[in-house]
Parts: sequence; C-alpha cells; structure tokens
Amino acid sequence: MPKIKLQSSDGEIFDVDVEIAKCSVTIKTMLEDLGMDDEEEEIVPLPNVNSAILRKVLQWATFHKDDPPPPEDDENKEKRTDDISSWDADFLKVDQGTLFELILAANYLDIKGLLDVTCKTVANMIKGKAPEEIRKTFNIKNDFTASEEDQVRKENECLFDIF
Amino acid sequence: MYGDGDFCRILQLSDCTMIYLLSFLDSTSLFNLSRTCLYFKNIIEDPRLWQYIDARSEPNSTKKVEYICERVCEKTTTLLLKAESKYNGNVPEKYFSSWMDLENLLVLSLENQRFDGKHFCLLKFPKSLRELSLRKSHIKNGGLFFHSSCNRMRNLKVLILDECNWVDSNFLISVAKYENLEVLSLVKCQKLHFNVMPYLSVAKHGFKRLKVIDTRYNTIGNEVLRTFNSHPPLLALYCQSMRSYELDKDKPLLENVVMKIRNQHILHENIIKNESLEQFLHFIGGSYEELPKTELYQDPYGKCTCGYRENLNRERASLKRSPTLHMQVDDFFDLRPLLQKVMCRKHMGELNKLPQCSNIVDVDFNVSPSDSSHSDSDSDDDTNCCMFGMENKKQIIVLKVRETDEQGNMPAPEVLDISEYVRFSRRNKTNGNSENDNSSSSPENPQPGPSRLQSDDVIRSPGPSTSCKRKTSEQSSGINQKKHKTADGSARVSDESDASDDESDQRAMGDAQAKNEDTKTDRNSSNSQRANQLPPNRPSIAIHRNNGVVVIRPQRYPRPYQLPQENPIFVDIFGPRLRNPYVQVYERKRQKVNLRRLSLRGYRQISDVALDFLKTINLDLLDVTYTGVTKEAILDFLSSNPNCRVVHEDFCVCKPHIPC
Repeated sequence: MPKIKLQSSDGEIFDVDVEIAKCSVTIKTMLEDLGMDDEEEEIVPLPNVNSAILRKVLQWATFHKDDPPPPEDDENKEKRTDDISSWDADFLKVDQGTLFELILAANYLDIKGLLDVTCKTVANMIKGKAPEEIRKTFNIKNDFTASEEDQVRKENECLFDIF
Repeated sequence: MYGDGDFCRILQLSDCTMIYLLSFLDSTSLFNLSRTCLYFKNIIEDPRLWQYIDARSEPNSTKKVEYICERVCEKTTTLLLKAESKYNGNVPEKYFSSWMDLENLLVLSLENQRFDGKHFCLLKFPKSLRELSLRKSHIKNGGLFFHSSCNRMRNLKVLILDECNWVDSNFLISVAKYENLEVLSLVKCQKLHFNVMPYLSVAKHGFKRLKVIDTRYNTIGNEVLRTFNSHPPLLALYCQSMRSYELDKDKPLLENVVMKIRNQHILHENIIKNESLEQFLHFIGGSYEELPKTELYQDPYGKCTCGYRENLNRERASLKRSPTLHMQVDDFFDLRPLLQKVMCRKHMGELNKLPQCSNIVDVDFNVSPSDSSHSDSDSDDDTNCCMFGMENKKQIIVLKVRETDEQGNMPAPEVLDISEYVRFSRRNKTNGNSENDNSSSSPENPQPGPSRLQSDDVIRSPGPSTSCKRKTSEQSSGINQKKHKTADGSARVSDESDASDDESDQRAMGDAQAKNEDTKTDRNSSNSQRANQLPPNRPSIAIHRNNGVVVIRPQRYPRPYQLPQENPIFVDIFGPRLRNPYVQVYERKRQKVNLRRLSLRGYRQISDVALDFLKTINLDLLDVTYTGVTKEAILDFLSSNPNCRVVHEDFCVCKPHIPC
C-alpha cells in the first residue's frame, strides 16, 4: 500500500497509508491538486498540528478508515449527540486541552467524522447544565459587567410589565 | 502542556468552528450558555443557530421562553415551545403575531400555551407550515382559530390536538378540508363527543389523504370507525378505551367527577364491537403505502422491547415438538351436538336446556364437489353438514340464505338477504367430546345418509344443481322419515372471484348468477378441480329449518403451533327463521386493504371473531390488549399473518406510549 509522510508542527514525521491520510479532505485535496506520485518521497507538512495530536488523529482515522461517508446534515433536524460509538467515547476520554486541540485539528484537516464526534462530546458536556456549572466546567469567566447584568434583568422586567 | 486548569480552552476555537460546535446544542442549552459570558451571548445570537428551535426541555421559565422568542428569525424552520404546565402559557402575545410572517416555518409546536383565536388564527399562519401541534394548549375562540383556514393550511400534514379540551367536533369540518393532512391526533380530547355524529358524517367526505388517526382515550371510537370505513388511504388507526388507560396507568383518566358522569353514557354508546369493526373493514381498501414520517407525532408503538418475537418463536417451537394430538386431516366433526349447543346458547344461553332444542332435524344439505371422497363417511354419521373446499385463506366464504317457495324454486333475489344478521360466536371443541354429547341428546337419531351425490353431478348440471333434502319431523323423531328430493336451485355452489365486487354487487349475486350461468359452469368445474388437489380446509355447513344456518369451520389444520386438544371451531349462525332455506355459497376475494396498524386496546366487546375479519389484512401491528380476544385465536391469527406484531397480555406486552 502506498504511503506518504506527514510532518507535524514539531517536526516529527509519520509514515501513513495514503488511504488513511485521505480521511482528511485537506490532505486528499492537496494530494490530488499537487498530483503527487507514489514514488516521490515528499513530506506533507502540517504546521497546525503537533505530533501528539496528529498521532491521535491518525489513530482515529485508522480505526474509522472503512466507515461509510457521514450523511449530509439536515438543517431542519436537531442534531443528535447521543450516538457516539463506545470506541469513540473511550478514545475521547482525554483532558479538555486535547479535546479542543482535536477539534482544531479535525477542523484544519477537514475530517468531518472526527469533528462531529468531538463536537458532540463537548456538546454533551454543556447540555443540561446551568450557566454557573458551565462556567465551572470550562473555566469561563463571567465577564458580564454589573450594569449589563442589570440591563438584562431590566429588559426582562419590562417585558414582564407589559404582559 | 494540555489541560492547565485556569486556561479557558473552549474559547480557543474560531467563531466558525464554534458555531459548528454550538449547532449540536439544543435551544435550552444555548440559552444557558448564553448567560455564561459575553462571548457566548454574542455568538449565540447568530441566526444560523436558530433554524431548528426545540426549547421544550426544562426549565421552561418565562425568561427562557422570551429569550427563545427573541431568537426566532426568518431562517427558522422549526419552533417547538412548551410552557411549564397545562394551559399555563408563557409566550407573550406579541410574538404570536410576529410568527405569522415566518415564511420558512415548517414545524410549530405550542405546548401548554394559552392564546386567543381572535388574534392568532390559522388563517394567518405561514403557508409553509407542515406540522402543527397544540398539545395541552388552550385556545379561546377555537372556532375563529380554525375559521376558513383550509386554503392557508394546504401544506399541513400533521395536526396534533392532544388533550385540547376546547376542541369541538365541529372544528373537524374545517380540518377535514385540509388537502394534505396525513396525521390527525386527537388523544384525550374530552369534548369531542359533543354532536360528533353529524359533524363527522359531513367531515368524512374530506380527509382525502389522512393516513393515521390517533383517537385514543376519547369517546368517539365507534364514530371514527363509521366515518373512516370508506377511507382507502388509512394506514393506522389507534383506538383505545379509557379503561385501557386506567389499566395501564393504574389511575383514572378523568379525575374530574362531573366529567366522569357526563362521559358515562357516551362511553357506552361508543364501545367498539365486533360488528362495527367488520363493517369498517368491509369497506376500507387501498394500496400499500408507508406510514408517514413526521417530526412531531410520536408513534404510540415504538420498537418492541419485551422480547415478543423470541417468546413467540419459542412457543411455536415447543408446540411443534408436542405430540400430534391435532385432528387428522380426515377427521370430521359430528356437528349435531355442537349445533345443539349453539342453538342453546343462542336462545337460552344455557347448556343444561339442551334437550329442549334438540329438534334439529330438518336439514338441507349439499355434498360439495371438493369432498366427494369424504361424503360417504359423513353421511353415514348423519352429520348434517356439507363441506366446501376453501382454497385460499385470502378468500372469504360468504353465505347467503334465502327462502325458497314450496316448490323449491329460486326466490327473487331481494326476498331475503340475511347476511346483515350475521352473528358470530366461537366455541372450543375438544376431540372426542362430541361423541358423548351426541348420545345424550338426540331425538333425531343419526341416519345413514343415503343421499350421496357424486360431486360431478353438481358440476355438470350447474343450472339445476343437485341437492339433497332430508326431512324428519320433530314429533316422529324416532321414526325418522326421510325424503330425498332434488330441487332445482335449492342449493348451489358457486365461485365468485371478482375481486372488485363490493357489497351491493353481492346482493345482486342471484341475478348475476342466473345471467352468467355458462361462465359459472366453467368456473365451478375448474374450481372443483383445484379444490380436489388441495388439502380440505373445509367449513362445514349445516342448515336448520327453524334456526337458520350454521357454519362450522374447522381450523385449518394441521398447523405446527396449534394448541393440542383445543381445536377452535368457528361457528357462524345466520339469520332468523327460514323456510326451505336456499343456500348460496361463494367465495369472495377481499379487496386489498392497506391498513397497517390497528389498536383496539381495552374494548372488551372485541372478541376472537374480530381476528377472523382481520386475517385477510396484512397488518403490521395489532393491539388487542384488554379485549375479549383469546390466546388461541391470536395463534390462529398469526398463522395467516406471521409478521404481525400482536400486542396482548400473552404476546407483546409493550405498553403504548402515552404522552403524559
């Protein structure tokens, strides 16, 4: 099977099957546009992905290489977040930093399956939580100024008065 | 390097990625997230996130609903809102009017809301609307709400009015005019019964595309059957009595005592019985279609989770292994004792009065072509019956009895048609019992039947079809006088294979038959030839002079999962008193019925006979829980409909989903 070399941002080089690398639409387009031959030992640089994340991404892509292409999103339907496979759930038992790095990498490499599953994981972390809990989970600082909060409150009171 | 505690990782993402991530969140979560910080507050206002709005999950505070209402934009296609409790209502009225301009709105659900039909009416709703739910909402001036909305609601496919106590039956007239309405849900609409008959009889001419009707837990069961009996596109009909609700939920449906009393008599009127079901199934027809896919309407029967299929297969397997106690193909019943029992039941309702009605002696019978080989043994036992081959389960044998004149001449077709009087009952007969009964009660002693007619005679002379009439006077039961005579047209077997025949055609059968004598001849002979090759699944027919006709149809055996020792026999009793009955037997192919699902949960009057009607329909799901249907009948039903999921105490015990 033909292989290509992927170079992460910190210089590490990964030998990868072309078929697996092509999970990434970005790499696929690159290979097709540049017309790279199999014989050429060219290195594809991926400046936005570090080696730890790229290793994870390739691990995911290897496992999912035979998956059918994900279905098109229907804008008129609510997206499900409870359909994460058990392998993916285990795979994504990582700290938040890695999780968001994976989202960034999936977005950059244009791997829809990985992007979806990581976004779903984050969405599940948000769902069913009150604002204060969400702040705690993601270390979000409450940057509403007192006046803004007052304003929000007032707006609501106004609405209340009318009806 | 990763996951340092104080750093907010989520804010690393680009806006574009963030929007994508947020698109996985439901509206309530978005509302909560918007209150965490300014960044989220601003980004969440992006209209791309408010195309599909489902804000039904808790909490349904006024604050949240107002926030959501603010977010509704031109792009919005789906808007699902809910207030905290029934009729509570938390959408400020100014928003209602702003939604009238939403040109892309397809699905709208307003649960527990409260508004005035004067200002917010369907006439002003977006034309694009495909699904509308007003569950548990209260609308003042409901008449104005529905008023002349049919043009506007041309695209509406799903209308859910569950638990809307303001919904009157006269609104159904407006709804009936919606051209594309496919699903109508009227669960627990308590006020619907008021004047429902006249309104539904008008409304029945509408509902051109209605496929699913959900009228569970309300009091219009029978009316619905009556209304939609000539409604070809119907795919699913869910009727459930209030009793079934009480049994399922273990609490009364109506807490309100006044409501309860008011509903009593209506309940009584609208109990679905076997007869109304038969009538319903008689007319319904159509072509195969899938159940419509909808966003709002929740299918009351989800996937089976009780392991029904496995249990059924196990049961079948165990029955297969059991010793062959089934009746042999060549077995015949001695019908007489059974007949007596039936008569008793009919007139006295008690078996111990059996001798009083033992005068079943005057029997006309005809030896059918398909059973020439068996006729000898039958007549020897004087079983007072004739056997007809039944070729195919999809065909139904319809019996008609007419009175002949003294000379046995053919009556005019309109003289008497007692098919309307059909009453069914079902008895279980155990092998061998009949012999004992026979000896105990038989003033009309069995006589060797000298009247053996070759089946070929019947076939070859279709005009003057051969029959044998045997008379034994009641008083001289011991003497057993017998006369045999052949009467022209006194009995006839004919085959009616025209599938498109409807009932009126059947009534004219007599005429048609006379005219088509020649063609019938061919049909008869070919029919008999076919019948001869097939295993005899014959219904037995006995005719009694004073009590009409009894049809006894042994179960179609041998059957792998038939319960041993309990061979159910279907007994059909026809008609009032008859003199010289004229029997016409023909098979009628049922019109193809495309009903896929039927729920009769909780209607006690539904009995095994109902399953007999339903056999010819390829149902996917049948709910007969809390009815009079027995396990044996269901097993029998499943033999002709192996793929049907039967919901019943002994089969699939999954409870239907009840919106709470």
